[in-house]
Amino acid sequence: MYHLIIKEIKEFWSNIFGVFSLAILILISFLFLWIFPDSAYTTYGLAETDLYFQFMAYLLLFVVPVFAVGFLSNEYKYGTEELLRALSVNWKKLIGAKFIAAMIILIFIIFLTSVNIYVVNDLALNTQVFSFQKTVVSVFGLIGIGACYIGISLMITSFITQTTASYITSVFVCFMLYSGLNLISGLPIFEGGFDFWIDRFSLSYHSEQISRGILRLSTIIYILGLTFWSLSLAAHRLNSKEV
Amino acid sequence: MLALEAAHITKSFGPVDVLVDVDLTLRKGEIVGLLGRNGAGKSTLLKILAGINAPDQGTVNYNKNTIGYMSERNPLYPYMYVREYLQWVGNMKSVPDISLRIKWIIKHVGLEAVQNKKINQLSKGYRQRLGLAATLLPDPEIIILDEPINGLDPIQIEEYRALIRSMAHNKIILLSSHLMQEIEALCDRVLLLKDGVISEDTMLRTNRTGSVYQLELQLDKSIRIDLLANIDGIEKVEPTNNHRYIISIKEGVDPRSQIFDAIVDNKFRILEMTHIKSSLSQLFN
Repeated sequence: MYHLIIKEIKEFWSNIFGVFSLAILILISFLFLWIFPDSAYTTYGLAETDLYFQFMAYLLLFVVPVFAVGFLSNEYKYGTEELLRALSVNWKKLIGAKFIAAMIILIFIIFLTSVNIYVVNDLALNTQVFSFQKTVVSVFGLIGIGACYIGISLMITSFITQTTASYITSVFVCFMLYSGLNLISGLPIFEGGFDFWIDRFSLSYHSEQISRGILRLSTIIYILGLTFWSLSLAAHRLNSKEV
Repeated sequence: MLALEAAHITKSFGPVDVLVDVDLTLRKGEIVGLLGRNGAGKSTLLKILAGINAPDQGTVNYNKNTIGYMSERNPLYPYMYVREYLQWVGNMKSVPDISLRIKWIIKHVGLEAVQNKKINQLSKGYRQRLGLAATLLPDPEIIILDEPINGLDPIQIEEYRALIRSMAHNKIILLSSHLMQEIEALCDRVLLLKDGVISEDTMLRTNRTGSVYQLELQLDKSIRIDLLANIDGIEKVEPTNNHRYIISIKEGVDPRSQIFDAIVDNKFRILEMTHIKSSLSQLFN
């Protein structure tokens, strides 16, 4: 398992596209949080980290599939599925290793962008505004949302071998889970009926809770359940596939 | 005794039956060649024997950890370095004394010149060598190679043959090739896969130490068998028809000049003397 994880992380760093996507993510987060007037801290003048966490949950939706899809689609591209089978690699172990490697990169991304939290806290006129407990909950929640994206991306890629198609589908499914369900719940047909439940199944609902520092049991079950289900389906799909 | 046994292997892809009730037993010390036309199901059979894919029906008795498999595509991770890749394969297979083993394999497979290069910088021949090195690194008891000489130049092919032969005494080696001369040069036994079944299972040599090759001789009239059979190195002389004889000769011996002398001294004329290489071609057709 350890050697598989290391291989994935090395692969990420050896790929200029992966590193480039990291640089773009940092640039975009800087532009949206500090420069563009519609979303910048400087416009609203509130030293709260909610904006950072909500924005990051949305931004990760596009960035996480870049490397999570790549981890699996590169195996197809290089034809190394055969090699992995010849090395007696269990598919559950393989998916687990790819998930852990993706989580390490995700945590690294969050670490890089967490400078925003520090800066916002530093800029606050009243230092009492900053809540360490709330920030910790929000960071864990953000990691959880990222885990859902990774799980979904791996699951989609286990079905769709073409990298671009897999990336687009992963982003679409992640978007539907994040915002799509929330938007669907607003349709008049669901008003006063299923709208409450549909909204509860959207990641944006949980993301909003987390960004406020609220971590409910339902959110934990939702994140763990969705991630575990996606990874299980991916492992099952790969196990049943001919190479 | 080490053996790989497959029984009633059946595999279909959609409506196409690729393998139909294939039975197979491979024993230690054998180099077995698998021949067949493109699309005959050679790779499918090798993948099933290597445990890469499962058959629709049938069983393969083996310990998967004892198998080394190199596929026709020879997949590698292009971003890794040669040594790094071998190290990774060794770690994945928990190879003991891995540094020493990597050193040994790099030397014997001829990768010294490129051992610190990135895989995506290697030529086809070196990539093929690296694939072979990775397959042999864990010292598997059963080696399955799918079209292993693809991309090798003639010198590399000779080196590769020598390496395979040097390992053959205590292993089972199964290789596929579309080159009949390759199978003839290297294998003790040939399996011909045709229409999803093994249509021929022929010994090319008795064994690795007492190998036999054959000459076909045509004379102007019939000769007494003992005149030829008494020559050193000749195992057997079989008359066929029209003053033709099949002479079986121990490998490593070349008694053609003695045969020539025996025939001329006894006032016979040689109309034709050929090394029989066409047996596989005949099987194949």
